[in-house]
Amino acid sequence: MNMDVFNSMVNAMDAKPEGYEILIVEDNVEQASLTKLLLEEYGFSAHFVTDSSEAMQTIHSDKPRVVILDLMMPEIDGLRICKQIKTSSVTSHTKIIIYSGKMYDSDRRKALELGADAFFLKPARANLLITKIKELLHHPIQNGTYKN
Amino acid sequence: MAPIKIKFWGVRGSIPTPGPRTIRYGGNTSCVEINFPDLPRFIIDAGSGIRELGKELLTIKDPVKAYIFLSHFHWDHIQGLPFFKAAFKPGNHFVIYGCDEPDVDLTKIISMQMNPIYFPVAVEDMGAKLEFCTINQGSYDVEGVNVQTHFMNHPGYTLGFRFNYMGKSIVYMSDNEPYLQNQQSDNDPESLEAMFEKFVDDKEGRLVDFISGADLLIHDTQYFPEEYEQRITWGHSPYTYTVDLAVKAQVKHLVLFHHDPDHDDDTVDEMARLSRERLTSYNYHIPCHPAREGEVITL
Ligand SMILES: [Zn+2]
Repeated sequence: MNMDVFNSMVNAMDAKPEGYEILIVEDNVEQASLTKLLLEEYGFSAHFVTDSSEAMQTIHSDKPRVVILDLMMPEIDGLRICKQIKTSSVTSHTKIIIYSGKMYDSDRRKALELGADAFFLKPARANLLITKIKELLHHPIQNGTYKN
Repeated sequence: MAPIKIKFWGVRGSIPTPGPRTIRYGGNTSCVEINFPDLPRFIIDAGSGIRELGKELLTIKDPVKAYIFLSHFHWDHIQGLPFFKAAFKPGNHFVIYGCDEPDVDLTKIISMQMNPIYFPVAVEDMGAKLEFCTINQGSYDVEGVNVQTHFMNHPGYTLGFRFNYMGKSIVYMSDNEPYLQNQQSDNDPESLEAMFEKFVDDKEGRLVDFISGADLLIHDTQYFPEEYEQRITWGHSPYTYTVDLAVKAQVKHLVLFHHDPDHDDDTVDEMARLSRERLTSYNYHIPCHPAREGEVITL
């Protein structure tokens, strides 16, 4: 990895853009930074948390429109967060992308059952992830029946 | 200090396989007991092997307390529970640990398999006191034993366990498979897109840390590499991966576990031979053998 990129990854950890659209919940700080940088390159504003126990509080206070969730995390795992988001009337309109190293169909099915809007296996093709985010962001918020 | 004793009550993966072809290693599904000196028993998984353990516990006059750690709830890890007679004896007390689902709690997961459609006795009518404790990836204290858990690469939430006690450590990882490694990108290698697409979260490194230096590693070795090629995403390991993990983590004793139901005793022996050969090829010399029903290891 070249130093410029590494330094901007480190900087990416601190900055929390006002009114950002996308929250990344990911316990691996490098993965989280890299995803944030990628999203920023495509013009989105994003923020991440690496401690999953902070995720719900952050979602409630910052109201991101899209949440990108890792599945296997200590403290609270991604599926539990997904369920909490989708079952609370305050946050249920939030779009959820599961971004996980888990490669099993049953995990994908379970995530979609719990209300996730999309599931990407790590590492995803950057353009496919970006296309999905655009689609989710452009979708009218009030339509709760959106399916992939 | 008296030694820690580990006893194998069930070593088979997926489904019980009784019969002459599996007579030496045994056909019961996953169940391992750890006896720490002067502590209640620790039981890992409740496959069909737990039935015989339950019979042994019934011979004890005094009330029995034990901790049962369930790695996950696939049938081969819970199917013995309804036949665990010790849980029907009033006065006995079992604390059951497992990682539940966001929409189904642990009590329900266990009681569902004893729904009248599947079994005539309900969990509430088992007689013994049953306590359910949800755990996640983390570190827990149980009777002074430090129990660490780590998510496995297996469908659903599956836990591996590390038990640390008086300077000794035992790791149990019954259902686990290698992480995908092929990271490719069509983008300019210097681009952010390429970095994103080639990024490897070092999950295996964290797994190695979890196992590191264990006095005993009990790990899934369901397949030969040729079989594994056909069964990627089935959630189990070829012995080659298991041996490599053991070497990377510098464990002191490796037990091959969760034998494939289609592997007879001679096939299991062959896998053990190849595993030892692989260890030797790394110039790493530790005891390595298949788990055998009824076997006791002392640490
Ligand atoms: Zn199994």
